[in-house]
Amino acid sequence: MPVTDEMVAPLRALLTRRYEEHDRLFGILDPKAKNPGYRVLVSAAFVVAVERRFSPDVKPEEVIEFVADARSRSPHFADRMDPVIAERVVLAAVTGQSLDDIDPRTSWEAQSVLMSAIVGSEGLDDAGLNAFLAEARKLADEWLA
Amino acid sequence: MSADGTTPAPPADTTSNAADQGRQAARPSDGARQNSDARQPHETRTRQEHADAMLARPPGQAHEVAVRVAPSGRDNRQAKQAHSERAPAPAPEATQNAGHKAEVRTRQDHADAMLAHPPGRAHEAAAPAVTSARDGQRAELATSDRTAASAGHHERRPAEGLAAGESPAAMPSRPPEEAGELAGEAQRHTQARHGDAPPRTEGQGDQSALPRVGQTTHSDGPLTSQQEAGNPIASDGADQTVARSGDKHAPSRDSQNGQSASSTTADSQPARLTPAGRDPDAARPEAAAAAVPGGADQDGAWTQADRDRVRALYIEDFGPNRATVGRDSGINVVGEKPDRSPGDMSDVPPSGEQLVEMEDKVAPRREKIRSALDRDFKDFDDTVNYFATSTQEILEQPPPTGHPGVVADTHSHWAPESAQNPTPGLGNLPELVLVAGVLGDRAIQWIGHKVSEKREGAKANASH
Repeated sequence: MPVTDEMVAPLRALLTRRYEEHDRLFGILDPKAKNPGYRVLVSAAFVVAVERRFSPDVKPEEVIEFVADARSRSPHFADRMDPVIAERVVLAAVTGQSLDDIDPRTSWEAQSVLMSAIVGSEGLDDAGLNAFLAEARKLADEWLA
Repeated sequence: MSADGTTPAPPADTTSNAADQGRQAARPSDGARQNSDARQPHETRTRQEHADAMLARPPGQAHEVAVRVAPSGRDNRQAKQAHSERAPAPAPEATQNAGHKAEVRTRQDHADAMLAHPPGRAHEAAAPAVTSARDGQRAELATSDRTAASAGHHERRPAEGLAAGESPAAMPSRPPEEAGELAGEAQRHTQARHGDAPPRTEGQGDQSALPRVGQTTHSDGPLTSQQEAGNPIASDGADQTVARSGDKHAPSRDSQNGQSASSTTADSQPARLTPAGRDPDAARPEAAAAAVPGGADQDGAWTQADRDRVRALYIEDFGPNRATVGRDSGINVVGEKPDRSPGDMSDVPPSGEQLVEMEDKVAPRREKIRSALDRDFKDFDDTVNYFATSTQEILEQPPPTGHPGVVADTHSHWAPESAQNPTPGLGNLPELVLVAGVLGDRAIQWIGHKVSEKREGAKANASH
């Protein structure tokens, strides 16, 4: 199942701070477009964001600092997310290490919030955001193929 | 020969041009030597020095000298060879060693040595026990060069027909008749200067080492005391060619001293006077054939078979496929290894197959990431609500700016701890009162003193 524009529209609305639009667009998606479509798209966007933010030989200190910064900006995320799990998720996006011992829901929550933190810190304009979403969509298509 | 053994003194009876040329031929060929030295690798010079050390010792110390100077096994064999080569038939091993030394000689010398022998008898003229004529020639070259380097007996060069200062390239152009005249002059000159040299007696060395008629021997062994005194026996095998007259007397010291061309029979003299060129192909076959008995036909020209034989021998030794060609130019050095292996491809860009393999390595990494991150779970809508809420907090919350910075002045400034001229203030009032009181007291005392002086002065005037 390829990624459609309807799947990308809610994510674009969320990253451009149109939160109500995100809720609306996400609500009109069919169940399969939500899961696995939208879920895989967000995970692919997380991988693309991490590859842009960190180098392949990233040091753990950098990941720790990044996760601490994200938790400091979101009390909701800080209360609900274990920082160690969040750091492991980031390193898994770089090294591909296994996360079998982590709950898939928790892993996806960490991915989605940290992806938003990276994109927000990048300060992308419309062109940059389109390129980012296009790359994430391509990777999601590979994963869904 | 002069005392230092380098340059012979010119003879007194030099009248004709032929004699002059002969005298010049008696001198060492500087051009030839320089040309030869320039093409000699550094290793060759070292071996010549080694030969000097060996030749400077008496015969009885041959083993000791060899061991002391060159402790290697090969040189030890060479020391043994010094004794064995005194026999008329040198052992094949000794010949091979000598031949190995001769490999470092120049092509020019090699060509001279080959052309100096009768082409048809190249293999026969050598000692019967010699494995091949080529090895024998190499041995001759090695021993003759060692002799020349040891005592500076450059006089053996005239036998090769090279005049002083004459370029070796000019040799092939000299006609055989002129070469014969040069040889004759050189012979007379040598006999005149070394006529007092006693012939070799039976007590000098091993009689078995005496060369036979028409036989070429090799003697690079230690020298006698007389040789050590300045007239070493030349080790040039060709120089020791004994006269064919059947005379069994040992060749005189002069004949062994690199001047065999002057003391041997006439038919052997041209062998050393052959104006053969440095390259057999470039040599004058007529002159060489005329000088080499048996090496030419009745017309004085080389036969085609002889030419082919010499050419084949030359190509075999110095052809392009010769593995030891680099020794002449000093390229290869024993013990050295190339900097890197020819199969080292570390600095070469990856090939197409390697690029495909690299791409394959990236793909599994993405696949591992997918398997780690892309896992299905239930209640996805609730998770998306959490995701939206947290994202709104992160995007709306400005990034932390940290604590307000306090700019510190890192520069040091010199300043006095207290004012040098403090202005008066309330803190200084008692000091001011004290100072004013002291000054006022002193002023009152001064005024009183002046007033009293005037009064006393007035009283004094009044009394007068």
